[in-house]
Amino acid sequence: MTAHDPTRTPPSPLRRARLTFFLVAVVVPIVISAIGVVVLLAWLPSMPDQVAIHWGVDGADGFGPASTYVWILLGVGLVLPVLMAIITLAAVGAQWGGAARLMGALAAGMAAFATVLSLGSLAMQRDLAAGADVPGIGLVLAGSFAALAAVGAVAWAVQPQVRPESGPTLEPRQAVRIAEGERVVWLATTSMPRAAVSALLLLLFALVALAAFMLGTGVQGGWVAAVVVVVVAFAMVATTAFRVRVTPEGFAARALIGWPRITIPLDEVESARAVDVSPFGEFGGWGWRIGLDGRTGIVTRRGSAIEVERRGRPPFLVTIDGAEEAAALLQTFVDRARPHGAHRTDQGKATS
Amino acid sequence: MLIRVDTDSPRPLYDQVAASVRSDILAGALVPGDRLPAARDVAEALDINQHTVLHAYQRLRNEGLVDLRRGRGAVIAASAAPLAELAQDIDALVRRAGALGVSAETLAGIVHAHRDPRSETKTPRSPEEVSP
Repeated sequence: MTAHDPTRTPPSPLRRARLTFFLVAVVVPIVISAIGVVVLLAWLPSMPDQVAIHWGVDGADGFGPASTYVWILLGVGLVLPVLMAIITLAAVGAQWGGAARLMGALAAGMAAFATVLSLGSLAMQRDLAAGADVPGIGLVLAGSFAALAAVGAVAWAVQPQVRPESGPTLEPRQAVRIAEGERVVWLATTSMPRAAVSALLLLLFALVALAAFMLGTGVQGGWVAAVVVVVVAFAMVATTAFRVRVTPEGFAARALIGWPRITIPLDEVESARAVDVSPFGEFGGWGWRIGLDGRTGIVTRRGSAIEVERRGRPPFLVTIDGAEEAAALLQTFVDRARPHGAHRTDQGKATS
Repeated sequence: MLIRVDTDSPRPLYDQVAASVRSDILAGALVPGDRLPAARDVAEALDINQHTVLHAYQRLRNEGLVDLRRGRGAVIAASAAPLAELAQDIDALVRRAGALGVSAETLAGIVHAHRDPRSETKTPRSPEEVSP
């Protein structure tokens, strides 16, 4: 709670990481897609009215004006990377880590992918005699993915490595006293910050628009987009908010829609503590996640989290307000139930 | 939110649930706008009847600490904010009373009875202030 937050990346490496990220995820896509668009526009006059814009299993099966490729290039090669960059910068804040580096590499790669795909598809149709069969897309697709991998790898390599530090343990606010015969429980709901939910809604909206466009224009594979929308919407509903409770029986957390859920019985709990968590630095994002250090967790925001040390399994954590109190209560239950730790508990009880 | 009940206590269960919410407001753990957990969840966790929890929420609403809204559940009311400011005074008073051997129950009784005489003594005083 004090001024110094150890999970923050120190200012000078952070500035460097941000600058290279900006170059890689914003400037590189702008340059690459600008070159691509210029070449495409130069080619447009020499192209036939209708060119193949979609390939099925048996070859080209969708046709449209050649200018379609300009929009594909701008959408996938420029708008998408810039959106990724904005969301990443907003999400990471001052806690830089490998996830941000990966997003930057991916953004640069997407621009290369879109440019090679658009230019390649048109290039092989440029000198085609009217009515001749359009060649398969396989080679172009392979080239596009190779470009994505190559540019992505370079973009990854030029970015500095910033290792996130694991958050500190928070001091229990107070020991929870439990009187004889008393049943004490702790209940709370944790949910993503409004900004994150807005960003997700924006993404969902873009996907819905894409799916509607694909279904409306009868593009093959439109149903895939529709399925993706349903899956993403479900994932959002399932992971934006969780109900958490600590009872004498143990720890439980479940999504508002009832699934996913987790129950940790008290006899599986080794110990409980409150920690400070950085979603991007330590877990690479939000939701139900596995951290870089093996911890599993429901990560909805930055800040305090209750971390449950499990017997023979990696710790489980949930970011939540009042984690100190919840962890203290769970620890009290653990101390009370453990016979061999009785002398420790007795010392604590004697003063109360 | 920490909720504690003692089924062996002579104090009604709903009153104990309401007291838990009140002490969370006092401690600043619950602030206006915060949503209380659904009565069903609380009942399940405490292993008590759901109506007991609803009774507690209703009681808190009558005290002006909680708004009950259809579809939104129980939300800490704006009028609950001053309670947190009293927290230290109450703590000091109860501590001092305890040191003097006065129980919290006795203190509560005195506080409850105190309200009426003071409001009565105030009324006659005001004309005096006006007269000179």
